[in-house]
Amino acid sequence: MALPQQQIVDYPSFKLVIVGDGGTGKTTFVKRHLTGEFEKKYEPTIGVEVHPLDFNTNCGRIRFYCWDTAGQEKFGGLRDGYYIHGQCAIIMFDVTARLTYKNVPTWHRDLCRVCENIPIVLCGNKVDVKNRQVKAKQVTFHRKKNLQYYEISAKSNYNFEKPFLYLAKKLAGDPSLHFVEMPALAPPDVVIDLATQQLNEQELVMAAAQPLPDDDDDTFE
Amino acid sequence: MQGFTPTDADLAQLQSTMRTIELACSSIQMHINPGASESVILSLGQSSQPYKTCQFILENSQVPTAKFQAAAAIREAAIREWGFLSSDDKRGLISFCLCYVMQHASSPDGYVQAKVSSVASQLMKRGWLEFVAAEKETLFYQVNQAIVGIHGVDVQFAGIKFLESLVSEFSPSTSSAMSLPREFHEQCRRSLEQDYLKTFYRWTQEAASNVTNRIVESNSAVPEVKVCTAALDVMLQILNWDFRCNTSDAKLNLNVFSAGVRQDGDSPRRSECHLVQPGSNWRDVLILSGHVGWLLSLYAALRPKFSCEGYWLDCPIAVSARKLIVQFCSLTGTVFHSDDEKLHERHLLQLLSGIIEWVDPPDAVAKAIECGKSDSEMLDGCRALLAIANVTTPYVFDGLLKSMRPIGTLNFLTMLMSEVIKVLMTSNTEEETWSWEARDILLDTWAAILMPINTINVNALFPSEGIKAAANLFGFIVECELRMASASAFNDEGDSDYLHASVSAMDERLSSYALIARASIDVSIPFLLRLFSERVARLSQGRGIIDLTETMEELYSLLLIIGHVIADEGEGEMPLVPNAIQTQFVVDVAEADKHPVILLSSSIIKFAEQCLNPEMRESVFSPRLMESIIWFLARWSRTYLMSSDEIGEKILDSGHHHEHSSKKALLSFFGEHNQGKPVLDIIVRISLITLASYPGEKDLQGLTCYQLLHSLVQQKHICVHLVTLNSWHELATAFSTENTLISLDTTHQRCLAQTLVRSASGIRNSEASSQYVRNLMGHIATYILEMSSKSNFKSIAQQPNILHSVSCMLERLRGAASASEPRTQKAIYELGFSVMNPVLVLLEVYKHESAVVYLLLKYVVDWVDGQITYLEAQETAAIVNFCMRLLQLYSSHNIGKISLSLSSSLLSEAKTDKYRDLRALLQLLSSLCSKDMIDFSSDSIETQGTNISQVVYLGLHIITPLISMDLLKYPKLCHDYFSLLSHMLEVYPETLAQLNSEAFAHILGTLDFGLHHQDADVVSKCLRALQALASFHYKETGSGNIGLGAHAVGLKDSSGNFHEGLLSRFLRSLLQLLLFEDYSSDLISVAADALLPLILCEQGLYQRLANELIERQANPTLRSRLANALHTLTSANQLSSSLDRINYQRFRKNLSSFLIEVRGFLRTM
Repeated sequence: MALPQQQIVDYPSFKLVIVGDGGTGKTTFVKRHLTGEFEKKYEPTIGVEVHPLDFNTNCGRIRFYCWDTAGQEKFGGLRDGYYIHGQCAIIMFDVTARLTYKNVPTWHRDLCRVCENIPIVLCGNKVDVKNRQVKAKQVTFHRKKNLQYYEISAKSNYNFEKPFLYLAKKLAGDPSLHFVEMPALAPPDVVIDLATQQLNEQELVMAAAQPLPDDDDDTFE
Repeated sequence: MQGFTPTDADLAQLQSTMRTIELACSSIQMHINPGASESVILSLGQSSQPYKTCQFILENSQVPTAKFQAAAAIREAAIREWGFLSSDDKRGLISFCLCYVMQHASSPDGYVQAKVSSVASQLMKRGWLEFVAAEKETLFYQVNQAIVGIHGVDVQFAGIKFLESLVSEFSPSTSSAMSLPREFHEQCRRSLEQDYLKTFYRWTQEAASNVTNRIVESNSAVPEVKVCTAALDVMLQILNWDFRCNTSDAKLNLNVFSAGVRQDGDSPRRSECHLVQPGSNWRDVLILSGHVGWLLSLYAALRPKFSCEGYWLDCPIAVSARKLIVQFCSLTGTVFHSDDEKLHERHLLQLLSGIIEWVDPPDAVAKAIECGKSDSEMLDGCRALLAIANVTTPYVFDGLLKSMRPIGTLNFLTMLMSEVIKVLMTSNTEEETWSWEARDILLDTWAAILMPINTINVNALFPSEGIKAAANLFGFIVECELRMASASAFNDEGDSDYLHASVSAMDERLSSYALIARASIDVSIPFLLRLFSERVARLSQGRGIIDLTETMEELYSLLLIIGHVIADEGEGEMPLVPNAIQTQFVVDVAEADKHPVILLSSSIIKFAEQCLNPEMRESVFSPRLMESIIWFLARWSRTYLMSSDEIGEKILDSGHHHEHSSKKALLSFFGEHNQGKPVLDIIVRISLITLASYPGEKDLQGLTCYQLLHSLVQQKHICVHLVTLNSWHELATAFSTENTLISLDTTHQRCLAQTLVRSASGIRNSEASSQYVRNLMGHIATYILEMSSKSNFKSIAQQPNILHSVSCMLERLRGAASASEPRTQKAIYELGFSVMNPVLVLLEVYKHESAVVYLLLKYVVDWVDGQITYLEAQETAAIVNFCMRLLQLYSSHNIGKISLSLSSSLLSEAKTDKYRDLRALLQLLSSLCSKDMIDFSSDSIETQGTNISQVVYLGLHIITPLISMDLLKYPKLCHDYFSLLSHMLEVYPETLAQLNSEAFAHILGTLDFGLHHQDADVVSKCLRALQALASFHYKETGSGNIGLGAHAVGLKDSSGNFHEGLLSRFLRSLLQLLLFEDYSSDLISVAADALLPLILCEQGLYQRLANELIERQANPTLRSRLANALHTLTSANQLSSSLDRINYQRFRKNLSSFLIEVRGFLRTM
């Protein structure tokens, strides 16, 4: 569906609804794609903001109209009123704040009530932060509800395109669909401490075994 | 409300409103002028009693989104106005929604029906505690009629969907907020669980089984499929309910059911496993009714249909049925406690007989999936096995399959897992495939089975066939891992994408491997030793002759696996020798060197030691291999090296002597009096090599600093030996005087400084340890001193090498400062004291070099933090004085420096730098504050005339102008700032009065900002600050003092305008917030604590405000309600005018009921 304010495009476009508690990084995630910048400040979204995001796939270009909704209760606006005619969705939570994960079932329930049987991706954001509160193993909601789960980091670009790729595959009904040209990302804002860079995952085990002492203050948020 | 017949004028009005809403809804969808459209739509729900309009729209509009919003508005208004709706109105609204859903059951706009249904369920919940049973019965009668199916399939579906919506509203994880206390939701939850949940289950169960025949007999999808799927979903939802009512009888009957089904549910590893424990009164409906048999045969009947039209492996009904089957595997607890001990086993057996079809034979199923079949049956089958493993003991688990197949379940699990790993090996893609997921689930299954044996004796709990199966599986896993490792040897992709996420996944996996290995430890240790020795032999034979990359890669993997098998991580605690290793080896202490774990450890250490030889290092010890060696040594030494566990040893019951001889042999072999010291020496030498001889290998050196050395000095008894080693002194000398280590990454240097200083705790004599610190750090202090006093320092300061070495020295100072302990505190104080002036010089010279400024501030923060509690009065005065000079200097460099002429990206960078600095400075002030809380010095600091509160206020005074509202948008800075502020106001309210009016105004401004912040934590800090101020003033003035003095009274400025005092101002804004704005209901108690003293201080103003509120209310009924409520607020529960605990509590209660009573109509537009 096209929006009159945006230029109308002649390739397939989909309404993507992004929901989740306030401060989980929904806006940062979308803006990261739009401008490549990582926003360290936090200003709550009021109501909804709609952004078109384009991706190039082997089957041609597609567009997601991302409805970036307010997570803060007090700036909610129409809430589930924005979900109507949503064709796919992302539910975001913050792995460093347990409450945001506890609220995932409510977001999911509200979403499914309005949009039946749409592909949904659950995203645990901020996995770059060292003292995470929700461990990967504790994230089980997606298994109960047949959602796809990705751990992401808007700050370091980790798994950034995965949610979009999954949704594109589902919407196109083509599991072999892939992005042909990576969206231009800014270089990661954080260099994730000593072990994360050129190592393969085995090496990372060694680093994860013990957190670095008190260096957290060199990172933001 | 229902017999409403509109007049023509009404009708015209209703139609015009409808059109307005329709237009706004269409605009929202097109995203045209969304702000205005939104407020049009929202105003409907905010207006008084909009129900007729909303009902009109629902019944007449052709625009589905408008109907949706009308339903939303009913919800919004009714929840707000609930307190003064008549009970007829309430029931009328619910029954309107219910009827609407039933009447429009076949409408195509599913989301409108779902919305109306959810409004009905939310309103029903809102009235749940006030409706009598008969009223509920009437409402539910209609629902039941629908579900029975007498009005057709669509209405049946609508009825089931309503139940789903209702149950989700009553379930704590999905309940909608209603501005009511938590207790309300809890009471509703309990009531539904006790009185209705089972009935609902039965209704849906009957609805599903009544349509089953239609589904089974038809060859294509029939409308009944929809009903059946919805019913299965509700049953699943109910089985996902967090049952609480029956927890008590679980404890009573603990011994009745001892057939080997597990009772514990709190293993950390089982966090993801949801046990379903509905309690004994569910036995009839879930177990005895033959329900499971029906479910399994339904799914069995669906399977052949997957090729028919309308059906496929992942069609909704198949997915729902499988999920429910898997959920039944998790059923446990008192629901099975009856005279029939085998009830649970039979239940599981029945389930397994159905589920096994999905995964057996594993090779054929795996092949089919690789050829394109859906993986969902396979994955659900694995999940079911995991669920069963979680509720049974290994014996019962293994026995289940034996009654239908020649092998036990454990052997089957091994077969299945081997097959999955085979596929995983061949597919070898980056993408997460089904085999990836299946492997993880099956590993969890093994973990669930094997976890208990880590705490109890293996043999007692584990069938011997299972042990063999585990040994085989472990052998197979290791072979596969090694094959993958060698295959990846020449694969140089170097993925930089991996992150902590995949790390923890990998670590989990290796830990699960280790569990499997430990189940058969007497086989797996010799096996690992053989593999290790073979590869080491291959290295020494092939050295210089053939390419050894593959072997090195295999060794790398092997070291990781061995590390996980023989030692645990410990998660911050000192890990113990794994239980299997403690108990499974019977060893003669005299022949300790033949202990398999000692043999394995010794051969790895011996191998590692060879890296000290330059030639060997050149040809064999690649940086990558060294990383795994360092990692292994770090992990191994935490468990085995000079373990201080000997105390625990003595406590152990001597009766279990032989069981612990293995552990004793191990610990004493690597203990202080045996091989411990030589091994420690080797480890230090290897560390020195990685730091000095692998230039640029940042990760290797990071591992050495952060993991290996850092963990060694955590243990004092190891430090005692460390400081006697020549190798340790070589390391210290290399660090302090030689240039070799200056090229290390600067943060590594900080860590190394910290480690080296910390080892001083091993020096017995206090003077000697001070001397050690002076020797270690003296050169660094001298360097900074000399550098800062060079006459041409300003001109050379920016040269890259100078900049770099200054940064290194600051990092080293910071490392040493953060290692302060009583024994070294004095030396570190002197060290810091000697560089105080030079540090200020550096701050001046490097004021435009933000990286250096930050390092410098962080050093000061750590130094002050480590020292402050120990300092004597005079030293404190010196430090405080230094901090003030630092703050002033920093402030003078930065105030007003951010100029708008900078480009936006430069501006944001500058802000970021400032943000980090300010956080550091706030931390500095917080550290200074702590002197008033914890003080170990011998005299009072006041003897030197130092008043900490004044100092910190002065500091706050200096830095608050730098903290703009914009900077408070950085969440961390915001939290730090308000934490400090609320702490200051709580502890030293009197000092606030002494601030000048400008600083005072700034602080109050930020307080006002924080009060309206979206983060509840920030708001609550501000409320605490307000409480502190008001209660201070109230108590002081009560005893005849001035309290906050002029700040509280208010004043006329030069132009004659009156400025309200701060307490009046905040009374006003707090009342405004509480009555009219949005906030989390969790804040009400804290707000009450702030409001009470404010009211007591400003009683006159409070009366005026209350009267204004009452007068503004036009509706006479509401006006008298408001007047009563206001009266009750300050008089109920014997509220007095004192500020003690009890009175605060009373006022909390009063405020909470006051807000429930009046907010509804005050907020109506």
